Amino acid sequence: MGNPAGPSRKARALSGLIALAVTSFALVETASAQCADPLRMGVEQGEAQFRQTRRIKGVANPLVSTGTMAIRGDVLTWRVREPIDIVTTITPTGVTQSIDGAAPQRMAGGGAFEQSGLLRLVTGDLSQVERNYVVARAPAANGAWRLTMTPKDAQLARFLTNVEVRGCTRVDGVLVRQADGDSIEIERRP
Amino acid sequence: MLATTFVVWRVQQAPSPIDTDIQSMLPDSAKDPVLRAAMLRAGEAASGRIAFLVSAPNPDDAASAGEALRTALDDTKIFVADATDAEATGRWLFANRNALLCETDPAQFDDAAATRTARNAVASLYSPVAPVSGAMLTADPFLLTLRLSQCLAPEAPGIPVDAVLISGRLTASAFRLDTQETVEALVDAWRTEWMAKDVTLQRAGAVFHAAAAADGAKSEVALIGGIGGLGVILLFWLAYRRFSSVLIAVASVYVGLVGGLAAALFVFPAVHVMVFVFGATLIGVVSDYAVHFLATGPATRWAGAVRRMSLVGRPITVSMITTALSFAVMALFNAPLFAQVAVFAAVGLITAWAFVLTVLPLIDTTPKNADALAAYWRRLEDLRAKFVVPPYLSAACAVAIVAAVVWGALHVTYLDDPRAFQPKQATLLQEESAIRAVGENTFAPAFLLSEGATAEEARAVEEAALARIEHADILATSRFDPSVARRAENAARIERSLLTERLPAQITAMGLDPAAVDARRAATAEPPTWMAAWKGEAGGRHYLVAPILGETPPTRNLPEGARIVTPADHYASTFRAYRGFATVALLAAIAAASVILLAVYRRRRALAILVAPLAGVAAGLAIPAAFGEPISFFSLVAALVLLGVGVDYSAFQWEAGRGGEEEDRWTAVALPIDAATTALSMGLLMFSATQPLRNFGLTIAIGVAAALIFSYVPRLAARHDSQRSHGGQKQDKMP
Repeated sequence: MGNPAGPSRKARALSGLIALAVTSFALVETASAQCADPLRMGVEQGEAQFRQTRRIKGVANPLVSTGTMAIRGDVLTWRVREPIDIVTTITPTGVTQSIDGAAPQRMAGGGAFEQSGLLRLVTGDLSQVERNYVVARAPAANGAWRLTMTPKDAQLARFLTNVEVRGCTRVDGVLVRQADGDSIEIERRP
Repeated sequence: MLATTFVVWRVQQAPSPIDTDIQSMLPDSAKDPVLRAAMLRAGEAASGRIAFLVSAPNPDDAASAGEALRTALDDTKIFVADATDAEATGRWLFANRNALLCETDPAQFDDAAATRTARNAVASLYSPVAPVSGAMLTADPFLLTLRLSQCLAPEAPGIPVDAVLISGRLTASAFRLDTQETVEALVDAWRTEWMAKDVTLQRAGAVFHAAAAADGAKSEVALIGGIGGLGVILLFWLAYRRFSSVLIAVASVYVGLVGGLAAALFVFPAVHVMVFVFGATLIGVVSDYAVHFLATGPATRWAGAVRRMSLVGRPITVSMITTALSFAVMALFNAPLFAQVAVFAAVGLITAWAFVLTVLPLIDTTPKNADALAAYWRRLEDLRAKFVVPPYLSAACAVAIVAAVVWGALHVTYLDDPRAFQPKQATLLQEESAIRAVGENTFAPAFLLSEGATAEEARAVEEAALARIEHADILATSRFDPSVARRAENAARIERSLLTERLPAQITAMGLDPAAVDARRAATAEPPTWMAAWKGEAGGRHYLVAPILGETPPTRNLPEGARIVTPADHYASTFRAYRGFATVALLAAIAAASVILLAVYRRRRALAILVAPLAGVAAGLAIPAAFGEPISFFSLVAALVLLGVGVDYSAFQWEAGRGGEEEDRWTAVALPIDAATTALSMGLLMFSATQPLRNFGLTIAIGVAAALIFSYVPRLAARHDSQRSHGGQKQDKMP
């Protein structure tokens, strides 16, 4: 009984790490010209554009998609416009997805947001990320920064090697490295 | 001794001769073996479900507190988390991906559906929430496993950001005290640690209701049983001033109970635990026999056995025969439970009667302080003589009873639904609804039952049923493990529409290496254990149980072999039928008592003996009903007891009325002791929180008082009869 047909841990972990990449962009662009402290940045409300490159073993070419992301309150809308129109809406109570303008469907895999601090990332609160990830900080050119986050939870570590976040006054790029060698790279476009 | 030895020997036999299966209470005609097995299976599964919702001011605390609770649950070794089942389900879905469809009718997986499936799989490559990997794509390029996991899972609204839901099943019975104690201790320990951090816990599961009910029962046993027991001891001490009187009364009850139980265990291979509930009702009747015999001791200054027997022999015998017949009538109904009760009660009464009349004269011999005790008893008789029931009180009671019968008949309500028997804690109900609100709605009150001559046929029946009804909320195993025919049909659809017609284009759209793709790759997986729990075989038939997770079961016509079962409704109809049986038994017992009284006393005036029991039955049933208390099967069982004790009171009054004023006095003292003993041993149950026990206690308490008040009527009738016979001139008096 219960929900035995629900997604397995692997499925949830996989969807979760993709979401991690997405939600890392929920960081604010500070007013200061100097680079900001990434662990003290808050939630950015509004809309931005992204370009996602996904590399999957067995898939000949990288899968590139572009679109917009918007944060309004605690609702994150991730819209892929090319090559397929996909609207994913992430709220504190669940995830829905609409493909090619069809009616939104609730995604069972959205349960990944319940795990491992990903919910906090949805709200843009990176300040508590160290509870779930070992964060290594490395300086980059011109005062920019690069964070490498390695999961503490062994279950998540089975599927996620680490997440790399880089930026200066805001998050400019996220690279998610999966344990099976696949990766997702997301860049924020000007 | 023989009976005790036999009972002990039988109880130690395996399998246990004590039947605790609620379905054994059902009439034979209602014992469909498949239905019985399915309800048992569904009941076990539903009662084993358990869920917790951990909420905190922030997601971190919720996650930490949830993890602590999850670990504690795992440590109990009696909890299996849904996550464990989900992994096995995922493996099963992957292994069967090319033979399962979301659509309950394979024809619905047409070209449009196939195109949409392929397109959605490609879209998943770009979706931020689709768990896709290279290995998955090569074996499942249409992502059928993901599609199945989305559509076969009952829809859930989702969990708040600052909360964690932990759900699963208990591997030990929720109704075992040790299971309840383990879970409650775990929750208490967790709360001690986390409540201070403003983390809250909401619970759902039968184990919590069972634990609350057990706590309530313990309190009631301690309070009601304690007060009743001490009250009876005090009463006997005040009446007889001998500790041995308490032992004699207890011995009489014990002999009756053991005699009845031994007979029931001798006749039946197993005795239902409910029989003991009826057995407890014998206490009130049998103790009266002892009260009467004990009263003849000080009243006659422990005269010889023959003299004492002459005082109590006939009325006790009349009482025993009418009461035993009341219960024996139950054997006429087509229900094994009632047959067991008939044997238990009838033999128990006869045994106790024989014990009182043959053994007690040997035990209750003249004490050393006989003169002092006799003098004390005379003072009680003098005291009792001062309390005369005034005619206006009887008239007022008669009017009140008649008014209550009229009012009660107009406003009577009945209680047959076992869901209303036990009061549920409001806190637990609130917590359950909070958990349901986030989608954990697995405590299904109803299920779809599909049966067939073979497992295959049962699957086909379930598939046909699902095609006819709204099934989004039905967790049906045939959707995960279809019949051979449906599996073949599904596989043919998938093969033609996807693997043959669309695979090359899909490989291109996804950019996969054609040489690496093996969409037909076979994989093996064991069926998830939760699926095994929902199928079975009984009476040579195979069946499938599919829990209905929605609140309202579907109502459309189902194919032959399929039906919607709501166990609680089923049990309610059984109790409704039993209420009818008990009503007929009561009427039959009244008729039998009339015949017996006419046969024993050979005069119509002896029917006056029935006035008090009838008044007791009428008052016991009507007055609570007039005040809004429902009448249940248990009220009518109490009415049967009232008939027995009422006849007992009246038979003694009749004998006293025929015997003259001198012998009148001890009976007048003994009857209030009878009534007080019955009220203390059974009437106090009216304070129980459990509705059937309250029904029973109320009926007894009110009925016994009414029977006592009207018990003087046969005395007057007997005097009139005696005066007419002997031409005496005695004046009537109501003691």
